[in-house]
Amino acid sequence: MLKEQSFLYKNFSEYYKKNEITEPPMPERREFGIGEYGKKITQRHLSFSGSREFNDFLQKTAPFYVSYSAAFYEKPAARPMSAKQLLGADIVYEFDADDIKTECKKDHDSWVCPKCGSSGKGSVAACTECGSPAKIEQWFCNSCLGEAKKQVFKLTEFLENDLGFSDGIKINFSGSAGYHIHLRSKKIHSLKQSARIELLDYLTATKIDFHSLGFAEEGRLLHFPKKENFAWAKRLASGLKKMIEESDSEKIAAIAGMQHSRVKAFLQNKKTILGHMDKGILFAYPGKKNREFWFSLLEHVLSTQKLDIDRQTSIDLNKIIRVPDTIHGSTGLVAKTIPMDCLQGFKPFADALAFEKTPSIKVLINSAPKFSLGSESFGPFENTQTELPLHAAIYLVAKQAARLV
Amino acid sequence: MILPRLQFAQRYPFSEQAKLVLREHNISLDALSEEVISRAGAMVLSAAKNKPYFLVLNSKEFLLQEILAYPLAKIFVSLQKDNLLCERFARMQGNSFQKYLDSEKNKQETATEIAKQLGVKFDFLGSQYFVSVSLPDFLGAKPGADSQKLVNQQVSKGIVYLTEQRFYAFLAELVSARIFDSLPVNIEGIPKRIEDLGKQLNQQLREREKKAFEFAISGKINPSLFPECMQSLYSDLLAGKNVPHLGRFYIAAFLNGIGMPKEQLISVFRKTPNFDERMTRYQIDRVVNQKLSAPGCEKVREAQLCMNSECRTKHPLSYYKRELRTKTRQEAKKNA
Repeated sequence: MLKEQSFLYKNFSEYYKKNEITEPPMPERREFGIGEYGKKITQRHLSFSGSREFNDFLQKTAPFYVSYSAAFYEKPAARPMSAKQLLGADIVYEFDADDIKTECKKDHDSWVCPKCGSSGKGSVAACTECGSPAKIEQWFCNSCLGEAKKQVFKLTEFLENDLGFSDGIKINFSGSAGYHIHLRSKKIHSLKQSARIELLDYLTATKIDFHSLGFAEEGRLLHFPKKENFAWAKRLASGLKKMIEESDSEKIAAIAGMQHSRVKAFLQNKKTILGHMDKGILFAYPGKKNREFWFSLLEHVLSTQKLDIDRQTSIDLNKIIRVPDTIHGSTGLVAKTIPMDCLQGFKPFADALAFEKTPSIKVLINSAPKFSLGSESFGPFENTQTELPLHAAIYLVAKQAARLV
Repeated sequence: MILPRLQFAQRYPFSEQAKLVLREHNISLDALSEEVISRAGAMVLSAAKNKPYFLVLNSKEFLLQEILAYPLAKIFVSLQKDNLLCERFARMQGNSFQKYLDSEKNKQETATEIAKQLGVKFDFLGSQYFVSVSLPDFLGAKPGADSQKLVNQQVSKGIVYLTEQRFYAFLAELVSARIFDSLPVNIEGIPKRIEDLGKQLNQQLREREKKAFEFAISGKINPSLFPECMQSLYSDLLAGKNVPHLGRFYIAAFLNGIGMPKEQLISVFRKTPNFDERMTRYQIDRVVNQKLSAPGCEKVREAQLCMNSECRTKHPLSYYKRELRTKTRQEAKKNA
């Protein structure tokens, strides 16, 4: 075992000795998987008789990653998957900061081309020199994790107001790149896969049909949902109305791809446009581009409201996901459970720390951008030998950005 | 027995009324008449051909034959061990339900009766919406059209508000989903006569399938005519690239669908970086033996494997068929 691995193992084991893991519910019905240094899942189909056996296992083996199945089974350890006998399943939605485009990526991410050796700051799909797939070094900060958090708030609004799933929502920090939202109510457990796809399509507005939602076309006439509306129809209608009320002609012209002067002239009729909306009609944009104008605005409203959710995690019944409150082996941070009323103030790099500052540890840091843990900031580092507080040393060693000296 | 009662049971063979008729007649599988057997076979064949099954009957004798034939048709479907056939049979019943309902004079009354029997919790509304249905009930149906998807409904606090037309379409989808869930039925201990008839039917279905795909089976498989999504998966596998699990499953089902022999199919996977012959054989066996259906474009897109959304097809198999037909025609012209 590498020096770094045993260092992490010793500390992770200490964590599990001091902290009893009470997640997930019904542990005896779940399949578990564990991972090693640098590999998130190396073993699956594990099962435990209950929470006690699970905690004993964590203390003894201190795995670098611990995942559990959203599904629960009659025989969780059986193989193949069909022999497990599915009894039901939670739904888990996952929001990762790496899926969201943020400005801060330019500061903390970097890439290197394994083919030609070129490198640079930021996140790119392909090498800017030779076009080969680039290897990305990802880091996360409060800013990009804050964007992921916004999506969590949006999701809870959808879940409670639209879908009526206010019970059994459990949120946790993933321990690294984002947040996981577990839906564990009885209503959810028995849903078939097709129903799970429907829910996901609802949240991501996949196959949304403006016509079906009241924005019907009748020749040149475009309808606007005027009567009592809910859900997407309401969101789209009020979003569109708000744009007209604000009448930012430059913004609207850019979104619709129309000439600014024309849009400005059109918006002079703001009162008439809003009046028509109340009557259930979209006031015609002059010329031949009526449909294009209104549908571009609708598409824009849609893009600001829909959620960007990892499809695979939420519909794959066989998927396993990090156990809340266990340690994420790539950061040494806890996949911390967050009560809904604490989500707004949750600071991942302060509230999800698993380790103390002491003792100090000597490390050789290969490369790391500036990062914060607790109330302190560290770095940036480039081939630096230094002494760091325990939690910062664990963070960098787990990220494989530093070695012990 | 009163004619309308029999008509209701024939039109809605999954209903309590139909079950009651069956109980009243209590005919064992051994004693079913040739006519009933033939009607059951016709139902299965219609499903296999994706054809509608809609009969307006006024003869008590014929009505009874149809009612008795329905459970037998489910046994025949189950004997085929063919998931696609189960799907088609269920869809056909859903479509028939909608047609029968449309032809009813008292549509609302019938729909209410059926909805209650299906255990749907709903309330009639006097407003712009016809009914409200609880979300878990609504999710029990698999939408056939985009307009029936949850994203295109009015939904608030876990209640879905439906217009009259959408409510009926939802019920049809629910009928289809429930019938699909009820398949396969338990076929343990069924009489040998029925089992043999099932085998005969199997032969007929296979003949049909064979004909439908003979263009592929008789000719050499031509990957240049695959749609882009399948072409890409196929060439990635041959190039030894690591194709994701779902991609592997889809290309296997597609290749099986166009008639690639099993051993050849296994060899397609031979160059994959983590090739495990035992595991591959097990998985390909499942695809071939259970005739797991090749994915439609929707599923391909869902898995983010679609390479060209403009390829004007709904199913990679239809695309291949179309291309193959065009090419065969062109070659025939050239040779002429």
